[in-house]
Amino acid sequence: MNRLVEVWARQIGWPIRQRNVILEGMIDVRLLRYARQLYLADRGVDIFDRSFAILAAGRGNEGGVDGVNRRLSAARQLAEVDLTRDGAKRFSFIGLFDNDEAGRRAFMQANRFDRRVIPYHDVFLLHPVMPPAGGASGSEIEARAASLNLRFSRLNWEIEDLVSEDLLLSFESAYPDAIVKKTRQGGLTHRDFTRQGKGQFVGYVGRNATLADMLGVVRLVCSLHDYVGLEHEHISAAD
Amino acid sequence: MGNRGVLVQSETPEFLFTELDTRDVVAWLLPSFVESAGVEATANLLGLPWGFVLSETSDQALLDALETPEPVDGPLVRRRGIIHVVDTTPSDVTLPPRSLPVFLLKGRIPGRSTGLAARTRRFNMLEELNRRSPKHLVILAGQNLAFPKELEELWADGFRSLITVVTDTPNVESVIEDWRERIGAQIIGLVPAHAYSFSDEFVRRYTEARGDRLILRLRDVEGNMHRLDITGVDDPEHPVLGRYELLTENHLLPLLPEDLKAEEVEGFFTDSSASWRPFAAGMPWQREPNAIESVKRALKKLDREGAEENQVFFVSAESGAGATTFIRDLAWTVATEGYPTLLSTSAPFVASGLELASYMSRCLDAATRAGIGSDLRLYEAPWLFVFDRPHWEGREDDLITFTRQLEKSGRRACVIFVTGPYLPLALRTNRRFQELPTLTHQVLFSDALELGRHLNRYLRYHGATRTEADWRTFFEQSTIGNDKGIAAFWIVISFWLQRQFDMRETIQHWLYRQFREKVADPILKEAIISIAAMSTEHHPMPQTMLPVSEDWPTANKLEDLQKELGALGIVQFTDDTRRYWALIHDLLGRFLLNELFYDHPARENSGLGNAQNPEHMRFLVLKRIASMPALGLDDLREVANSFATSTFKIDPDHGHALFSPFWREVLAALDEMPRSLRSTSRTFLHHSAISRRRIARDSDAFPISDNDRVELLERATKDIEIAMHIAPKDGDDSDLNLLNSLALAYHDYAEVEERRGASRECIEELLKNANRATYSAYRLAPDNSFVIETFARDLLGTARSDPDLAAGDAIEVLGIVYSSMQRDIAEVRRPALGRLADAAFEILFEMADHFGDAGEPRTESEAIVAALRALCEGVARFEGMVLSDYPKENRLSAAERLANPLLRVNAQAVRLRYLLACLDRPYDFSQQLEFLETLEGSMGGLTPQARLEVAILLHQCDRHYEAERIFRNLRQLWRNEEHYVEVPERLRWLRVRDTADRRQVHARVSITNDGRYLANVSHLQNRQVPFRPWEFGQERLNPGTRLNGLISFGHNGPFLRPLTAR
Repeated sequence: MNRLVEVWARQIGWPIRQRNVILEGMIDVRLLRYARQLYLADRGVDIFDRSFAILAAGRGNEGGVDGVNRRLSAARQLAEVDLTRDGAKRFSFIGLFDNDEAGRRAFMQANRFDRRVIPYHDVFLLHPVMPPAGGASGSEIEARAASLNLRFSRLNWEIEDLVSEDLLLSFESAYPDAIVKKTRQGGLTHRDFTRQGKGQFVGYVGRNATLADMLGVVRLVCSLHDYVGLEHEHISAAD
Repeated sequence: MGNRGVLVQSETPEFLFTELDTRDVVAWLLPSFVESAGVEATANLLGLPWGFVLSETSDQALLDALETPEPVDGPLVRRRGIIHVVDTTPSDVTLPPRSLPVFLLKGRIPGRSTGLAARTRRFNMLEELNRRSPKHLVILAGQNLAFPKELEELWADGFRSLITVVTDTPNVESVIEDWRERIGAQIIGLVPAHAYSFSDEFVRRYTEARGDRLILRLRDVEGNMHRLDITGVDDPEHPVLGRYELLTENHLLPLLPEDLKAEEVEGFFTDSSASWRPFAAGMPWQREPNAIESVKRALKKLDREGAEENQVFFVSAESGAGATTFIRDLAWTVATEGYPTLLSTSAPFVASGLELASYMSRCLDAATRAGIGSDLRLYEAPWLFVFDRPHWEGREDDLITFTRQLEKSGRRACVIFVTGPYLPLALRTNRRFQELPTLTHQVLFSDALELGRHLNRYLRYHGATRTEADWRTFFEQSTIGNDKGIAAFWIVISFWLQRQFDMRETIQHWLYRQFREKVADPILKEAIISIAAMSTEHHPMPQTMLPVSEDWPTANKLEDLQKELGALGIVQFTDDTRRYWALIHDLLGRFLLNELFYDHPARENSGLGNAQNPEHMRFLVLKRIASMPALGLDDLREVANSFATSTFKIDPDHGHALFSPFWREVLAALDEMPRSLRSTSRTFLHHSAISRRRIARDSDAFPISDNDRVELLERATKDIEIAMHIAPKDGDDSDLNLLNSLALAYHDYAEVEERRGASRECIEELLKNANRATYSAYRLAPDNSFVIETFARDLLGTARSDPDLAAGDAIEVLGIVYSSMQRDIAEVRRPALGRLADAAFEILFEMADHFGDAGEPRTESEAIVAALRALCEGVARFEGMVLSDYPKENRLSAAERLANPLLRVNAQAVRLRYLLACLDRPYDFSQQLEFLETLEGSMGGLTPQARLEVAILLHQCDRHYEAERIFRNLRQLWRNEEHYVEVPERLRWLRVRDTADRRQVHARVSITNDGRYLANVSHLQNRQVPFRPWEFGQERLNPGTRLNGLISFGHNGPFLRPLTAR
């Protein structure tokens, strides 16, 4: 049967599974995939559950924080009516935003269109330390996120920042013009890349990263599994 | 019963009276009836609220009697309007929405009943039977029954109705039976009565039970309640109460739980809109007590302030989550406090603020005549208007026009309406809309137990209580997978409490089982499937669009089934001329259709075998309905348009994603709708074009070739151009909306053509068209945020194609975008506005690369680029940034560079300097005024928003005379045109020069008539400023009284407020 969500996903080129996480763009998706490949090669374990998928909100102008909101809204509309015969939803979608000015604003906007979208239940902001969910309510998880990241409260945070400091420093030497600004707080550094620099960085990661460089990203994958209700305890992201 | 198919009734059946109330019965008058009954009795009989009358006689005495003027507040006139004797083709006559047409089948003048014209007239009159499809036809035959021969032909053509014959012809049963058999009707009623006695008895029985008066509960300024008789206030021909339900004193008398009968308790679970008694007994559960407080606060504010404080509230709700009960409970509570309350009925119609304002004024006059509150301060109780979900869906923008009409008429009112869980753009971009709590099926366990205890108070009198253990079990079973499965707590509960559903299967299975087991007739199946599909879209199904049965009218069959198939919640309702069918909850329709999809044989039999999934099947049913010729008729225009505005809309970003996976079929379905609709409805054409443009524009979600995109955009532009030439009707889309869409569509078209490598001429032609539409829209509403975006986009087009204009245009875009972003309502448009700013920066940075890092600018363009470069210094990501997000040092540096003498009269640079000044020197009003005056000088005019700011700045700079002159012009402008303006926070109060401190002023009361209070304010060079005495703690203030206060600014000018005002 050509089910509704699958037909739509094929149309927009999304490799969906039952539980899906929408990220801002292809670069984010590529970083998570590298982490998956490296973990699989190193430890023989696939950190993506069979029912888990990460999806890019779009290409270029169609992606970004606005793209996450737009695609999430369409996906939720369709998922709401694509039910099993017993009435269970066949697919679920959540969104993850970079924790920068634009991301925070879009995160705030996420439930302006659909009031049922719950912060830290359906949409998440990226933090240096992602809070565990464990079935708690959105507001509880939000409170955990705030307390766990108190030291970094004014630090912008993007998926690139999860890559090891060593690899980022070596990238900086190789591409001195790729980074516009560095901000430090609580012992962590956030880097603002130029648009071109982001592309160069993800290529650099693909060529040079080891699993040790990507453990921060692996931890994010674990958290995302937690948020969509999937097991992840078998994945170890310890250094 | 003498003959099998003839039902002899010794007296008039009771249901005929109910059918008269709903205007569902039509009389066919034969001459022999008048001869027996006499003119007066016949005229009295015909004066009852029939749907219409077909008369075979043109007896002059009878016509004279029918055309005798009646008092407009008579009980019958209130029910059926004025009698209109029609002696021409019905389509030549425009009848008011409520009226009683008497069609003279033989014309008015004897001897002119033959010939082609006469035959055409007669056929057209008879066609009304098909068009209006009455439930019941009564043949008034008298002593000589001769069945009208056309009735037989109409029957053969598919017309179906109950038929009752009134005659005292001897031995008539066999005649009727023969005729019945010949036409194939199942049953025909016979009332064997003399014409006179029938008329006399029938009229007496009908009128004696219907003498009710309308008593409104109305508060005065002190909150005392009064009873106001408004029985004759409504316009009998255009009755407001034909479309709205008024909460009268009868509905508001409090009841106790034990006062409710078992069927009333049960009825409340089935359809909470059926009766007000459960509300009067406090049966609805208080789910969101804060909501009523918000509404009461708004009404209380209107007690004190003017119509400009009218509020519009919305309730966002999941399907079946109890929004109807919720708003009705709000309505009932508000009405008990003496705020007159009207609720829209379920039939589709275009609500008019003017119509309601006029009704309110008439009620106000009645209150004045009755002397209510005459000993107190002049007061007008604010009203509440309540609309359920279907009314404004897809037309939320029109609510603004609706409320403005009330405001312009000076009538105070709040509006509450229901919307779905996905909030339309209009609700997020206009501050007039206030949100009440969102209703979902999510219920906490503790709340469920509380609900159980509450409902048990009503159930116990009928032995139907549920134990706490029952409630626990119910909660656990109904909420399993709430996050993952069917969310239907409020639907399931109603069936469970009625003990119809025991939770042993899913509600969907149970519902469909009822349908499968109880509906055997294929026509009925088709009818219910269609009603279910329309209900999923929150639209009722017009009865005239139901499939036709051979034996018995489909509507009657549905009626028979209503009780038996209670689970489906089939309901019917009427407006003045039409009957509609719907399911009480749209979710029930979805359940039915979902399960039908899995029943392959049934699906095949219903002609839906090729459906790919349940949603696709739902689409196929709707497509079948959409193609029905009836939707080409004028009186179903609202229903027909809704297919373009919502049902078949493809716009995933704005809540219309469900059919996007099969968008090609959807567009084809729109094209298969009746031609008369497609060629004459500007709303239909506009919204189909919007869908096409959305598809063409989103290349990720709709990956199609550029050739396909061009095809879509060409069609979209063509359709909007055609729509522009169609004169708008009530509720149609405005020129402004059409022009805005047109400009955007041409821009998109030009972009795709450019990508396809089309000729320069072709692209320029498209851009020229875009430019033409943009400027036309801009002229109509220069402050409208959507127009501003289009305008900025147009400028970017010019900037890209003409290097000489590039810097100027790009900075103008930034000026427009940042000024727009400063307004509160722009929040949701920020991504779109941000993209425009990004594009402007891209142009400027390209130029910067070209200029290099040379020192002092030599041209205007270089100076602009230098300033913008300073603004962006060290900023990595612009997405959605507003001007205040840039570092302050960057803004100051940019302002300094914009002050370059090269840019002194450059309007775009001055505009940006103004915006920067508002941010970084917010109380330097002289400087801000200077910028705006320079801008006015160099641009030759300002937008209404900028003119408003100039007027306030002039006051701040003590140039009150000039300020007053501008405000006078602005007030004139607001009266005549619609503009979206707002007073920026820094300008909200008259302030001490160059500081944030509010200036205290001295005033002296000057005028106090007509409820208007003015005071001369010495700090405003003794200009007269309005104020409200009760804000100063006084009911009345005499001329000459001295006051100290503050001055606030609104869009109409200064206002005197007390020193304590916030």
